[in-house]
Amino acid sequence: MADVVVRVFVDVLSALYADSLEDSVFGFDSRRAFGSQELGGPNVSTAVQEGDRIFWLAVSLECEAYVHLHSIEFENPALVPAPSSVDGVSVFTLTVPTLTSVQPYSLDICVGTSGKTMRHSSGFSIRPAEVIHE
Amino acid sequence: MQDSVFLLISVLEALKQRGVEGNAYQLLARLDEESEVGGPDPATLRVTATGVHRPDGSIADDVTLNWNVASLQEHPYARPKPIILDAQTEAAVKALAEMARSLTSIAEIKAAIDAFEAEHGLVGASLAEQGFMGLDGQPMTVAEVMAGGHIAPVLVDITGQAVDDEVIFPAQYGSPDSDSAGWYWSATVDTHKVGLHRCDLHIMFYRPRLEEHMIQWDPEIYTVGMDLVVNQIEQTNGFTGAAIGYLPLVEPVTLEDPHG
Repeated sequence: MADVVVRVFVDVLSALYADSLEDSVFGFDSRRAFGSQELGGPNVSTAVQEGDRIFWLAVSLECEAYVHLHSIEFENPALVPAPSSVDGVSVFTLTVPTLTSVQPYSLDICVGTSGKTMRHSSGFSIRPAEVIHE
Repeated sequence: MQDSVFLLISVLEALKQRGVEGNAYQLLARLDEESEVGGPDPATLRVTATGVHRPDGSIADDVTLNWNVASLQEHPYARPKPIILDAQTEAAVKALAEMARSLTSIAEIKAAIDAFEAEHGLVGASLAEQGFMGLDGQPMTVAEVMAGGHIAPVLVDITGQAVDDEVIFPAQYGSPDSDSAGWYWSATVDTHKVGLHRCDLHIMFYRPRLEEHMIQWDPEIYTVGMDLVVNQIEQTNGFTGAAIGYLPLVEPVTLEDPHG
């Protein structure tokens, strides 16, 4: 059982210019040693174990550009990340139940200060951890 | 041209493996080009410095690299990670701030702080005495803090062949940067020195250790190598793509390489 962080980096300027999140989302997590895949890309797959708490944070590539997570939606309706706000920063959390397969999800990300929300469809996922340390 | 090299570090894994290799991920933010992640594997650290030169070979634009180091495990915003734990103390801090407005002499202010500290012991307290805020915004237990990774790593030096050969001239600067309390490393690049160079980034981590019920943070420095590729492009007119010296009306012109 651990706290797992998924950081979603967004290139806000490119996303607004292209009117799309394609090529502008870079996912990282803290579970490479547990078998996370495709770190640094639009299809990061985070390795988790039952009981882990996942935290999603959206971060802009540039400090002047604004971004926040609007919602996270799993294809599996049983998985519902909870929204919360820590000091005004949008954070989504999920306590991982028993997983037997890869679970993809979509991210709705609010890009820039105009309130525009863009969707990153089902590229990200969580998967059962391959290696169990400790 | 300024290139920002953002190093994202998985602190827990780096502490566990006692090394940074494979646990530092690179993001490049370029103000005038597309952002990119470092190659097919973001754990491969490689930066390209593009030297712009005029047709006669002289440098037309310098390149500056900026390094920022951040932890994957933390909130990415500039604010104190240690927090005041109880609401009672928080109220006392507000009262102290309120009262401070009416004080006129330094002796009075000192007396007020002394009285506050006698009761709460907080002003200027060391990290070991303060509480930490978790990712959920709640105070963390000692066990949670001991699980590690809650103090962001710090880049403390850049050395190696690229520095020895005077390809880069690194130094530390301060700015309102959100991840490292305002400190970052920057280097100008001698773009005459085209080719592949190596430098080593020395990164200091803090490992928590429990001593007499207090958490001590032991610094540990690990080194990770970074490739620096210096290449050259010829300066062109940004509107037409033509070489400098021609009006923006003409077709793009390719000059012969003066070096043959």
